[in-house]
Amino acid sequence: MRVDTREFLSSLTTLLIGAGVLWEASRYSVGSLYQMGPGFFPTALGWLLIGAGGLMMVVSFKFTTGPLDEIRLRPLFFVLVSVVVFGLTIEPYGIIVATSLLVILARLAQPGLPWLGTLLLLLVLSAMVYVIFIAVLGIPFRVFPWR
Amino acid sequence: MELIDNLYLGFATALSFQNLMYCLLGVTIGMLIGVLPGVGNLAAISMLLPLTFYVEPTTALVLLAGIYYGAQYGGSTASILLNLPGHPAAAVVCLDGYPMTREGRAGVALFMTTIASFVGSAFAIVLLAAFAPPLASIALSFGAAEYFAIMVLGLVGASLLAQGSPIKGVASVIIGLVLGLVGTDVTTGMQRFAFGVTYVYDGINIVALAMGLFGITEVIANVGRVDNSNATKRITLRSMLPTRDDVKRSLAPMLRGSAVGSGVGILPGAGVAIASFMAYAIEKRVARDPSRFGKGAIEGITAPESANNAAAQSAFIPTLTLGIPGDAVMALMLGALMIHGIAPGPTVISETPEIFWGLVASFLIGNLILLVLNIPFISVWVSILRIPYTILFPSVILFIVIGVYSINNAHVDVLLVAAFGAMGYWLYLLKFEPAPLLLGFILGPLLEENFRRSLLISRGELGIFIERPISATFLALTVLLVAWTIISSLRRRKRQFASVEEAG
Repeated sequence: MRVDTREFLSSLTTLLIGAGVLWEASRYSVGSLYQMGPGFFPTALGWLLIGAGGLMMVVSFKFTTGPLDEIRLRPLFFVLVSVVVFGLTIEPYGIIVATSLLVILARLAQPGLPWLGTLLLLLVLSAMVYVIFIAVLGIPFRVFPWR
Repeated sequence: MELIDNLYLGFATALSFQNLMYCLLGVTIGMLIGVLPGVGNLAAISMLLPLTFYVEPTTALVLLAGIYYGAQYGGSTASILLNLPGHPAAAVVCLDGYPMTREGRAGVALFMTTIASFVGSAFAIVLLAAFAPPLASIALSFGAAEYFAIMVLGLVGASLLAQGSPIKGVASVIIGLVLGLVGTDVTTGMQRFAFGVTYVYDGINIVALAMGLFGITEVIANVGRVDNSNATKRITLRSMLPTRDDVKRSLAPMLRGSAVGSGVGILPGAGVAIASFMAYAIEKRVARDPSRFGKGAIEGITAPESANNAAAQSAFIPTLTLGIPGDAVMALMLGALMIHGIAPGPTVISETPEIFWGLVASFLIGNLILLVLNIPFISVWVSILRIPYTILFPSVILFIVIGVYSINNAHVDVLLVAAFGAMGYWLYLLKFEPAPLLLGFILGPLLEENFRRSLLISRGELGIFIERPISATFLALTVLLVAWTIISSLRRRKRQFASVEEAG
């Protein structure tokens, strides 16, 4: 029996989220239709997700929607890492360091980009950030590691 | 005359120096992100959302709305010159716009789409001014049951009418509703789905969710794929002059497109992309010689352009009268209103007329500005089109994270963007639509509250939803929509199946 990978994974994702919602919702009281508890709505949503996931499971064995796209690991990794590193460095080291690291990491998302271009972009964007957010808008960011 | 008083109030509001500047800023940014392939308007609006915390609510909406309809103008530029849509609604303009470029008629195409955009917008703005106030006064009598029913129709509409699989659309909406649960339950004060993290007690930050889901996912999917290196066309003003034939052929399609677009824009969840596709399909059907389409037929660009601009404006009708957003962008607009402490709903027009009429007037002004931006300054946009994506995408990521960080100066928000970016990419791979998810997230708390309240009023009798005529009508429409979706998708599947069997 053939199964469509994308539809099957979609179904699994939906079922897992549904199960998670039901599991967490079971800790809240459901109440009655007249006086609903905090658990009523989440429980209903959980079951709806299970239903939708089940339907997708049936579909995944019947129809095919074409092959799954390749997972673009390189952009996925570097784009997310650039965001996380920005989040972790902005408070201790300031916005200029965080911006520079973000630009360097983000440019790695596409292979073979020239380093000189990255350096220029980093300088231009740092200057822009300084002018727009610090000088003009006056948003109280930490600017440099020492300030 | 009341209308004249209202329009006077509107123009007085919209023509204040600050609002005028924000309108100019909004439409310019909208044009910019519309022109640039790979940068969507949702990402741009969520990037600028934090900026609007510091200004009046009217000014905030003037800016955000400007980005939205400005992007509709800009979107067709890349479609015509590069065969690469600036945003999904402009995809259909590629079909006849790019062939016109190859015939050396790019200037005419750009000129005519600008005019068509203006016609569509103006048409829908008149509708908005004429029909929104009476609609809002009807909506004043709505109770919890009516609201619940309208929201159900809106959410079901958003999930079924979105591109792609209807079941996945429904799942997207429900996932959004679940994310909307996170935080304090308004009725009981209990923490739900917070897992003891105090940071989410007020709920998930909508900007972080929208930017992760739309902005970051878009970048991951586009890196290394957007190629605009062959855009080196120069457009002169002289080359933009259409022939008499071009104008004659475009008049009726523009009006038909405007009407179709306005209608589709009002529907919950249909969105601007569907409006332009429908307008194109209709033109092809009514044309005397359908074979011209796809080979540079001017109707094939003017009708869809009028339609998507009309839809972008008429989408404000349900948003401002009922407080129910038709698509994800409108949901963000409502988010902006709520941030300013204004409860979206039928009272917006009567209690804060300066917001509604100020917006109507600013739409007119904004569209006039866009005419100027698009015709004399077209060469500026053509050169912007040449900025390589390898420079653009790191800048987009940077502005996303700075925007998110500046809301609360909380680095956790930035980390949340990465988390939602990862989730968004997974959903993108599986072809779940992100727009219904955001809509579910925004409407979730309202949906639950009105559901609870209705049943509290009826002492637990579910009959309340079908005993009240207005709520019964909306629920009946929902059922019809579901039935129609099931029937049409079964038919499609059957046909697909038959063709597979014939081939095999």
